[in-house]
Amino acid sequence: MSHIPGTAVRRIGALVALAFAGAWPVRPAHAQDPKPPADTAAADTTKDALAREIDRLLRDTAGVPLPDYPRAAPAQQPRTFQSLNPDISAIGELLADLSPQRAATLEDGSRFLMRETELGIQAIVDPFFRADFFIGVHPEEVEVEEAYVTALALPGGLQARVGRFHLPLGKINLTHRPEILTVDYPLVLREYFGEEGFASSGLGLSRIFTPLGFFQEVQVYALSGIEREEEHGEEEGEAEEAEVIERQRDVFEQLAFLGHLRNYWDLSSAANVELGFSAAVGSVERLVPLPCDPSENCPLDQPPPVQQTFETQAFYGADFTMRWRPPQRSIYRSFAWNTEVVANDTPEQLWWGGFTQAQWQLSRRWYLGARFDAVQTLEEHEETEGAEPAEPEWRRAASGYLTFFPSEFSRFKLGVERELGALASDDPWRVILQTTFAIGPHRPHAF
Amino acid sequence: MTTKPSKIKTLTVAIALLTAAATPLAADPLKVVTTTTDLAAIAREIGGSRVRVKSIALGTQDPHFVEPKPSLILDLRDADVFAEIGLQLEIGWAPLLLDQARNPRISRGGRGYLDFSEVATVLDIPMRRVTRAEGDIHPLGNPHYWLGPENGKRIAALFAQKFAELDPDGTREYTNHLMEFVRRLDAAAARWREQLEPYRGTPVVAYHTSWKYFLLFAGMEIVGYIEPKPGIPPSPSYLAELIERMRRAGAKAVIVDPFYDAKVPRLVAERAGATLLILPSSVGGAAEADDYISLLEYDVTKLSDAIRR
Repeated sequence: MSHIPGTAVRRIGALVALAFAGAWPVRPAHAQDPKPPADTAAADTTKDALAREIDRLLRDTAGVPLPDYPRAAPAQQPRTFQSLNPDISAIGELLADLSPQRAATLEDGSRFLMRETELGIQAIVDPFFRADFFIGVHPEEVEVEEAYVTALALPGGLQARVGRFHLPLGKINLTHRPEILTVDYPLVLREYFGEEGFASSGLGLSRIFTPLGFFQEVQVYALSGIEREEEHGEEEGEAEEAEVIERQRDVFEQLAFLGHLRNYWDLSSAANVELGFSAAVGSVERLVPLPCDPSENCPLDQPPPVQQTFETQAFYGADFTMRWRPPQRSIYRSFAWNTEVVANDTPEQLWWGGFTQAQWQLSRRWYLGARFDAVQTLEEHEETEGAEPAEPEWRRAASGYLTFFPSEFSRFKLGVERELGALASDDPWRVILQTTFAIGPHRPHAF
Repeated sequence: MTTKPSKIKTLTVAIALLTAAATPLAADPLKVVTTTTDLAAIAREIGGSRVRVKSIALGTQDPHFVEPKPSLILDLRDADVFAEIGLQLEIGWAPLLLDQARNPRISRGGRGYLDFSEVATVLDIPMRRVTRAEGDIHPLGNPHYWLGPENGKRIAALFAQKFAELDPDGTREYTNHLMEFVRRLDAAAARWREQLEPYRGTPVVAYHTSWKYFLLFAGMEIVGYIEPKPGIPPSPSYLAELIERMRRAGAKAVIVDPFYDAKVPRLVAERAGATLLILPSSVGGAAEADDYISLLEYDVTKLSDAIRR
């Protein structure tokens, strides 16, 4: 039978005893306290007894025999990493297009695309802040997806966040794309904000409430405008090639505001529901093609110049999530259902979109999921200044996913997607195999 | 001069109200939130009526995988003490909850934060570089140390120290409770040693490395695990090799936590001629295991009964 080395346990015992002694509140000297409490002596004896007992417990095994195995006492434990370094992680996402049609559907037109490598650097800054950086490395660009510092302990139960971050317009937008249940963000987020969802820079403040007896959280953000990659129905990159005639923004055109109310209820130890409401209002950049005269400023081989304008738009969102995961079978069985509706209020009209998705865990490593998408869009974007906007149409899609996790750190997802309705293309089917792998301590997303 | 009875009543009520309002905060029980039911059970033993304890994980739940539900944030927001096992057992959920709790008292480094791995005797501390090729390994050591009674006493001692620090008026109670707990645990451990002595060296298999502390205390020889590597489900070829190894060693029992699927362990036990034992690894994992000592009592009794057959 082996024992903890004596010097080590003595060191621990002494340290704990010292820490313990140092933890006692400093009491005034008796000379300054003419009437000390009658039980002072007894209290001191009690403290001494506790200190002795703790010292003894940490010094030896006090009758419980130590099993015969090699081990190290805490003071001798080697540190396998330098704990002051930030947590560094990387998530790789490879897409393989297995679609039957001739043309590949991936962003670059290839059959295999390393769509994103997400580098995460996360650490506690000091007793007051933590910092999170997520750098997205894409085939043709490197971008800061999120970079923010969170103030963890403000007065009044407040928490603040400063930097660039994904925003709580609904729920799914908060999760990075390689980690969502499906391969792509829902159509509605892609239509309104682009392939990477809704992110912006600014300042956020949140507070938890329980006035009605259940969990509620209010979040408010002041942002540097609302970033949209394209307008409704506009193809990606369509406006980028044109000459942009810029104009100076006033103060209000440089700002946007977002609020989110989160309500959460436990239905049982296994089931819970969440209902959220969001609203955002702010300045959105629009590039309006100018009337074109080929004889003057508009050669036929170039797109017409576009005028940069700013208009106030609002977004409204509602999200509902129901989860079921029985505690005793939590690693084998779960179900999640999430539905979100987002409306975009523009000067022309109110645009609607949304999705519903569900995922059922079949076993420890296999999941089955499905999503239905719908969003209003324009079939052809031929907007010119002063022209009547075209009537929006519904773009719909349905998709199913089979996911396999070899371990917590790798994932294969086979997705079959189909465009539906009048706007469906001639090749409406898409088959995608997504491979995701993670290294390093990547912090999980909030529940 | 006489005072009217109604005024006296009013004055009495006012004084009573003022007195109640002036009661020192120390009289309120310390609000303790623990990550596991085992820590909660020991906290209740030491704190008695001076603490109000809540565990985040259930006793029937795998403590590696707990959902960080918003309702738990409310418990942590008001807590005076947060106690965790550490060694990255709760890495997937506890940091998220702590960050959202907005409670600096219990954040890492706060006065009410407790990580018991700082005083526990810890096994399986890698003495070399580790990688995920070894499965979901804990790079700081095996975190299931509460299943060794020696560590149960260390947990109790640290709770007593922290409670006394935060609530000095209760020092006498905490001391008495600690000494009583240690006396009962020592007596029980002596009884368990005696009960297990005839079976010392018996070969057994466990599902996960969570049973290492308990089985080494019990003097059993671990000849394998159902999981080929921590967190990795077994393949058929691995199970065939394990069954063969168990037959050669004469393994008597296959021990499984209640939250794992028993189908594969049952098959292995049947083929290897061993007994399948579904044992709670946390307080509340079985109806009889409702405190720390009764958890170990239950496990020791079931194990010795299975081997005796």
